[in-house]
Amino acid sequence: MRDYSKVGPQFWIGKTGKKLRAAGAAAQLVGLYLMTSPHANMTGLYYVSRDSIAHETGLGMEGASKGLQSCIDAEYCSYDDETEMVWVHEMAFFQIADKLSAADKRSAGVQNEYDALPDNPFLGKFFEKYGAPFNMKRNRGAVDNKPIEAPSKPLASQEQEQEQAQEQEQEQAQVARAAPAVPLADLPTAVQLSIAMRTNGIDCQPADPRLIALADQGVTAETAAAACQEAKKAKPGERIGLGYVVAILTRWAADAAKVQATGAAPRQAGNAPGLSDKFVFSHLDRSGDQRAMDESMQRHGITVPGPDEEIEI
Amino acid sequence: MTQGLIHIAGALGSFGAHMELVNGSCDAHGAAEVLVRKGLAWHCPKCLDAVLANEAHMKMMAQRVADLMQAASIPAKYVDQKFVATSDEQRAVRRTVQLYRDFILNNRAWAALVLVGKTGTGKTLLACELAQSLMNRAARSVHYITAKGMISEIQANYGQPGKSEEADIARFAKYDVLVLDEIDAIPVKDNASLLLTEIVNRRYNENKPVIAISNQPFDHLARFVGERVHSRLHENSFSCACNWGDARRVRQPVGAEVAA
Repeated sequence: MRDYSKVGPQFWIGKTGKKLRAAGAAAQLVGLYLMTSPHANMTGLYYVSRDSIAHETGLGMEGASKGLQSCIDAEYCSYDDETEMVWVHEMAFFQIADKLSAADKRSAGVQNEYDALPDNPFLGKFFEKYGAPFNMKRNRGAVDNKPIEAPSKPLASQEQEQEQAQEQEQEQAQVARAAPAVPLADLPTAVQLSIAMRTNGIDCQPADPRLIALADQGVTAETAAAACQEAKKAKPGERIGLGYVVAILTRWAADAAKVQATGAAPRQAGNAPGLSDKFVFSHLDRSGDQRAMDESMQRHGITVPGPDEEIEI
Repeated sequence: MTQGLIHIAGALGSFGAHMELVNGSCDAHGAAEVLVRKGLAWHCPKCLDAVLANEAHMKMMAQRVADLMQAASIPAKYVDQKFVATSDEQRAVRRTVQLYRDFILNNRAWAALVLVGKTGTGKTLLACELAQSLMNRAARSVHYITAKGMISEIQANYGQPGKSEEADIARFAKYDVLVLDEIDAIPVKDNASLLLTEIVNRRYNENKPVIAISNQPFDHLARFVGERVHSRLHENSFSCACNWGDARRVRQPVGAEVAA
């Protein structure tokens, strides 16, 4: 959940703001809620159910539905009942900036956030509107209807209270809906980490600098999920923040650095730092190649031609 | 072609005065009467048909080979280039490649040509020479691509309208011969390994040969391509160890003699 949201004075006196005012207080309240909702992210395109709007604004189902419809009529937002996704059209400009440079890390953050969204009818329009100002590279607007590859559902701890389990199931269902249509393994690592953590009930966003740092340091989604489980064991029934999980991962990394197995082979001197055998291979033993070739020649009855023999391929 | 036109011209009235019927005999097709321009020699109509059919076939084949070359994606550097063998090791490798070609032209069976060795030893050149030979001699469809390029090509189509992973896998599985360069250099992602495995496995099941090129020693390949692919590369394998010097390091740049 974000710590804060920006709401400018134009919300009340701008052209769209006036339309909301004309539609009534419920429209203004729903509009303000959509800007500052605990479900919202910086892009303004996010999952929120009508139930949540009704409950968290206190308007009740009827009032919330009317308010939402007024917001839609005023072109303040769009809402898709099938996916329960809302798009507050101008929100990203207010929450982020009018335009970002390509080097700005928030550009990558927006793309990560966008990549992690579930399929919904607004992806194409979002890209049309924000693709250029936020230097986005991938348009998911034309995604075909492939089955969603959702993260696996973790086993609930038997020690947890039933209420917490239900809450967690709701969160997991939300994350499952929010799983991307492309294979998980092909998403940016920060997005994979975000999905793994949200699946385990830790509220976080792919653009969070701590997640990006973890991704840069090679932390995998499996490790992140294991750290979440560790956190839940340590604080059963409590709401756990991303910082607590990051602290566990940091501790694990420090513990791992202390491990020095007896007789472990030192790093090969021939390899430059950061280059694996995939790129540096001249030092490798190749005697097996000749052996394999000799066997192959024997198997296929191949003999070495003389120097004057023409071997036409 | 000219003779063919004369043959047809007899049917056109005003030309009748210039035409005559001539009898003759051909060793292959026997006696025949043909209409020719006055003064021209008799020709066998069936031999003429055969020549015209052969010309049409040659033209069609040339077009087919041109189409195959276009689809093969052979790097420009290796088009019409030959690997020159100067040592026993190189001749043995060239002979192995030659016999691999004969095997896949004469048998519809899985066969893997595995070219491993250090950089600059001519592995890609050999594979491209073989690929062009297969297209020119037997009009076989061949496709050259790096393993990384293949994976990227498939993944780039994710979410694109009218594209699917399945269609891309099927495309790479259907070429008569697939040349996979740098087969070890695929992204360290499960999805990349799965795609490579799926394509190699489909080709294996369909008896479609694969040419695998790698800088890694053959014994190490399993670490990079996975055990499933490595196992298939062992079956009916034509192994070539290209472990001589790097030609790129000894070759003089163009114009070096002039500069010297």
